[in-house]
Amino acid sequence: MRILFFLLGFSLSIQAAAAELIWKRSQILERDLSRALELAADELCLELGQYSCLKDVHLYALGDHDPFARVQYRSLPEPSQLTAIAFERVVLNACINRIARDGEGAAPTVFRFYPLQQKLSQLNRPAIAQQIRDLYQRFLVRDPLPAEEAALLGLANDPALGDEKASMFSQALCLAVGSQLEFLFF
Amino acid sequence: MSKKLDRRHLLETAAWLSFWGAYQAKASAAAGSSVSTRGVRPEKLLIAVTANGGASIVDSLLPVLGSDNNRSIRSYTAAEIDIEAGSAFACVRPVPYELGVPVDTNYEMRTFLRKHGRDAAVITHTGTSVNHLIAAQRSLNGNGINRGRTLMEAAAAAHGQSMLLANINMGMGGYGLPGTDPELPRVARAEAVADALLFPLALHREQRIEGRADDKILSAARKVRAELDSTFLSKHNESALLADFVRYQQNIPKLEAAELLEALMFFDQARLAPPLNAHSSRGSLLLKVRTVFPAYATDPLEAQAALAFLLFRYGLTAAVTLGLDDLVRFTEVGEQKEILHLPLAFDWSHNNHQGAQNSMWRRLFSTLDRLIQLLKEEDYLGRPEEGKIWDRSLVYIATEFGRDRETRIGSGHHLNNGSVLISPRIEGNRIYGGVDTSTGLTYGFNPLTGDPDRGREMEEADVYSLLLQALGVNFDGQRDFAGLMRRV
Repeated sequence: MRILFFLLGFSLSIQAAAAELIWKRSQILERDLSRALELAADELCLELGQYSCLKDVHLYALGDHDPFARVQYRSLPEPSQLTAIAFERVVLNACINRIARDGEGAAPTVFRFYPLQQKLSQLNRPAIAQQIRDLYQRFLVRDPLPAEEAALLGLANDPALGDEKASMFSQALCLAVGSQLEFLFF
Repeated sequence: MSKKLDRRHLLETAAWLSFWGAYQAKASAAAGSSVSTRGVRPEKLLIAVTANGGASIVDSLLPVLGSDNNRSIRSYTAAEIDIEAGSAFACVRPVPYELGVPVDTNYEMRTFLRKHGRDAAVITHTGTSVNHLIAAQRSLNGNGINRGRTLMEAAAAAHGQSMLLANINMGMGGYGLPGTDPELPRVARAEAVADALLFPLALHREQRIEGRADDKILSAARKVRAELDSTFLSKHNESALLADFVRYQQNIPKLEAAELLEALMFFDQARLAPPLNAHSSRGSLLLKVRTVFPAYATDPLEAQAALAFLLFRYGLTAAVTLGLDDLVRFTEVGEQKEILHLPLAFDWSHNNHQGAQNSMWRRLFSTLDRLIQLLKEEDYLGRPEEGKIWDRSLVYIATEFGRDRETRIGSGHHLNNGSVLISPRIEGNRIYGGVDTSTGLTYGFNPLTGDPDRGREMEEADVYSLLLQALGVNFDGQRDFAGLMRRV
């Protein structure tokens, strides 16, 4: 009987734990972002062009710890009030860097379904939809739901975008997909 | 783990926060240079300075004079000690020390006492651990007397309720760890800062990012993202982590409206930053901290002190933790190098006790001298009716433990020690307790009168109680130190 109660309690505790999400701290975020945008870790985000966002400037806000310089052996237990800002800065920086590279090269890697130099009005919807699906696979490893794809396609018609260059639209698209909660928690 | 998030609640909260953000932005604009509302404010400010590695009080403001009576312990000769007329303290003169290259000897402890001795006090105490991590925590949480809250958390909970960044912790090791009180209000949780120089960049989602799209475009992207996030949120509405994250995410407009990045970014990045306007309130303050802390770009302690000043000046923070780390640092003096900061800070005493203690104490006093001077000069929130920032401040030099008194070259850890407090809120120019000159060990004092008591040793909980009393913070089980409070 005792064993039964023990197993029941154990199973309930596993269920409770399963209800909680796991927060990707700085190191894992760096790896996943690097994989999603095909950029080396040190190409993702540098504050003021030289200071690593993920390893230095926003290390604590992104929940990580520094056992060497700061003698911190454990990651922060919960997000701080600056976590959301740091996360968004990192994703935005990485998106800008990827778009800049894809705009320069003859063979773009991530933003490759429409020319980045074109105006938004010149892009066709199937190409944008392809880009959206590709970004979803890269960041979230799944296809977008129809409602999600529609919401992102709607971004192209947002008056705030006007007739901006495709590179600016791509930045908005990349931020909207890459800084979703689903990318930071799993 | 059972905090529920439903969409209605989220929308209501978002609407309220958005209203509050707009209100705060207006209030900020009306105030010109601060983010708080008008009136004579009751907040008190705590500066916890972490003397990492074991700063021994008998090697700074409570030195023992050598005599026939104490040949078995380390002591100082009369020529090595400064005694100022009218001062309750003696202090140790610079001890020449080299570690391949000279260790900086520019600042003298007596300079600090001349300028701030009236507000300084030594309180003796005996700790309960000689483990760096544990002792550091206990020096800040009073060995758990207040449900595990750190001093900074307790101060922030009492005085930082309306502040944007109530508790900023730049400490390392045990000094950087949060307390253990599960009931601590969210506002009082410490924001851990890895790099004081670049920290302001974490206060805005896109400022100072090169090549970013127009604000309107990024706002449109965020609007769509919020829509996309809703499915994930409803699916994981029992996640406490997510609840915390989203709550803070909703707070971002309020933080950004306060334009803190521009107010606190004292790092001179002429390449990217607009030139400072010396005639604007914010520009002149940034120029001032650069002048007072000229090594801010290379010395983390100066950068931390500069950030602490600005956080207090704008009424953003009730408790700041700053201090020494473990890394060796050099400075250029002419064509020569000098050691600015010893490896392991005060714990270098294992290798050379007096060289380490003397140089690290002087390093701390030098930086604190300039920080306190700034706080004495500047009005809180920039408003003369609020008085000087210093009038409401308390500096506590926390350390893990003292050092043994017997060994000659290097020293080990020892529970017996004392701390330095500096504040206009305590009866200063006083030594509370004393030192037995035959053993070098400190003894305690009567908390109600402040008189020395050779039969008593003060505990970590005493120090904690006293500090919070000076900050006007009460808690269950608090010990009374009425005898040390300054009578106005």
